Amino acid sequence: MSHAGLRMSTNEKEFIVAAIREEQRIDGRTPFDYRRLQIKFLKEDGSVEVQLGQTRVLAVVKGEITQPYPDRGNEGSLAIFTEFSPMGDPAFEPGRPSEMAVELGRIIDRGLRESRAVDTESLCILSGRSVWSIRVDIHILDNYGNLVDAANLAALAALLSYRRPECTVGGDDGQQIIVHPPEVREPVGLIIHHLPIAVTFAFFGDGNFQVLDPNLKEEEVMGGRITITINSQGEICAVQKGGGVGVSASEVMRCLRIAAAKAQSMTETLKKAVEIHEIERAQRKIRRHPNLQNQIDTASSVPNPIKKIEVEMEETSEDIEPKQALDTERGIKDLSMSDSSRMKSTETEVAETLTEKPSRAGGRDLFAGGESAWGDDVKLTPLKGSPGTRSTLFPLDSDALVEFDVAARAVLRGGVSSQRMSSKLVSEPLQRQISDQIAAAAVYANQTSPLISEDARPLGPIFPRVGDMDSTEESDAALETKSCKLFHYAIAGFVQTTSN
Amino acid sequence: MKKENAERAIIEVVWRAKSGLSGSYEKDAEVVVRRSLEYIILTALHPNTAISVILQVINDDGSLLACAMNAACAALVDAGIPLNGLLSAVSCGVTHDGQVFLDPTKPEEQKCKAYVSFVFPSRRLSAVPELPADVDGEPVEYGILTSVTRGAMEVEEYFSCVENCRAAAAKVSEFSRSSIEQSLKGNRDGC
Repeated sequence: MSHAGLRMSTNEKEFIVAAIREEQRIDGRTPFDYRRLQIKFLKEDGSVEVQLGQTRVLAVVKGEITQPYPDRGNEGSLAIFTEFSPMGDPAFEPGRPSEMAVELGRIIDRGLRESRAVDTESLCILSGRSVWSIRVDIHILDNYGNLVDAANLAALAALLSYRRPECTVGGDDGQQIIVHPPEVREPVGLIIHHLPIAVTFAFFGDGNFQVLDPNLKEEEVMGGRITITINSQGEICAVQKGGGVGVSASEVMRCLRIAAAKAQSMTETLKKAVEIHEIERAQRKIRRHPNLQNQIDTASSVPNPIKKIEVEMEETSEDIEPKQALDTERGIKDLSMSDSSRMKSTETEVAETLTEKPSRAGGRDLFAGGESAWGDDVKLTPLKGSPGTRSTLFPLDSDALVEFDVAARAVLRGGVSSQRMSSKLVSEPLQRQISDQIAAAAVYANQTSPLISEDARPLGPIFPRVGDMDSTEESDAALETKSCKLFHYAIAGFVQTTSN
Repeated sequence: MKKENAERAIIEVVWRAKSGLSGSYEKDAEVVVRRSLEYIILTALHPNTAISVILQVINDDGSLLACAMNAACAALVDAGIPLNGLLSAVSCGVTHDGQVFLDPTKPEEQKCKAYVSFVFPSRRLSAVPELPADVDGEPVEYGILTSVTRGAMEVEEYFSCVENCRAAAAKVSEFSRSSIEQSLKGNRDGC
């Protein structure tokens, strides 16, 4: 197995073989150790660079819509292309693929395609007319031995990370294929049933010494080589041993067992790397509401949004009927205080309260995305729950406020014990959303602490009573803001009192 | 079969696309790179030899030719091939309303009216009387070595591109010089 580019002295060659007889390898590894593996996912979906020691391989996956083979009308196709460019090794010549390149392509092809690792039937769009044709290009960036294993891993990782555009069949005759661009519809991944891992052994001497993952110099002096493609379930997908020194069957069995174990650990590594990449990818896709950063208000009192307050709510048997027709609009309009000045002065109070809370609350991080959008200046109003943020401040549109109003008043009027509330008053869809606030407010409303006494409520009347309803015209936005703040303070009050 | 030249080295450029077979774009790029490199490599020092420059596209996000040219130049320095200067390549695009912008990304390249890649030699002159005089007080050669355009643009726009790119190329060449110096320093310390 001589290599055109590498020229080694006889001394060096003999040294390598002699060392292996003593179970020593020239780079310090034990005979069945892999070199350091690094899997790097590039920015584009389906491009992966794998580094196995100093061997570097790049795999790129592309898909296009083509006509299927006539005898396989409802199956897509998967093709592996390997071209050894002189970049990897001076011995590689540009132009026609060399024997080694063809062999490598074939091994990977057998492992992936013929073992049905990639599901080709799901690649069919219109049976007999259009299917997805997946193409894997493998580029050797640096050859330092054992290209097969590295290339196989690269191809697998690339297939796992590749996303093809989603397409639907439509049109007038039901025969038109519409390919949706990635901005319109999220591209979809390939279906991969199992992960065939290639494990290569090199034989020395009379075939009775084997090492795993030979590097370039070991490849130069080896007597023979075997590549076993096996998955983590222990199923052998392919075995390739072409020529070279003869090896006894028991040695081959030994290699198979070792390969099975190695395949399992490789699969774990690969899956972990793919998972990390997926998370990063998802985070990159999260779009933050552009207004969230800009609009700022004084409500800096919420550095750490308080988590849902778990309060039990029981269905009450009592019949609480909302007394008034509830000029609901007016109800909302005047959730704001007539004494807003008092509110401002107590803002700091509440702020302090809240800032103490995070440590108690355990510093729960509620955002799945990157750093928190809750800077010092967060306006509560435009907090529509965007997909990336899991804020506990639910969208407080006017409907929710109405319902809250109704429920809160019913609670006040009914004078029920703290946690009881009729869930009839609150419509189902909104119930979950505002149930916590309602519960909190209900508790708050029913406390007998001095905070609630008529004149000494620091936050002013939260729940509108008859006397409070002067219809001051205020803009909806401002009102919403104030109502949001109120809810906050209500909850804050609740938290504070529960902590006492 | 490679052509041998008994008097000088021949330069061979291989451009490998990220995916797919090599087509005409790759061949064209190979020729452009080769002709630019022929200007700086001292081929007469190595007769009967071939210098191969292999470029592998890992990711294409615009300004690909300029990036490849800079990479080829850096690779030649790293290989120790004797050069009589360095290259600095920049590219810029022109939008439909005549705005010139440097270093377009792939989406920008696709949307703009035209884009152009320039390669400038970056070498300090010693004593060449007929070439133009100092630039910023230092004798520097600054002609356009290579210019590749895609799309149609006005002549004024083209000249405006040249001006912008020349200024940018000065920065690029500064940066590549300092990077090379640093890497060589590192190598020396490592030995």
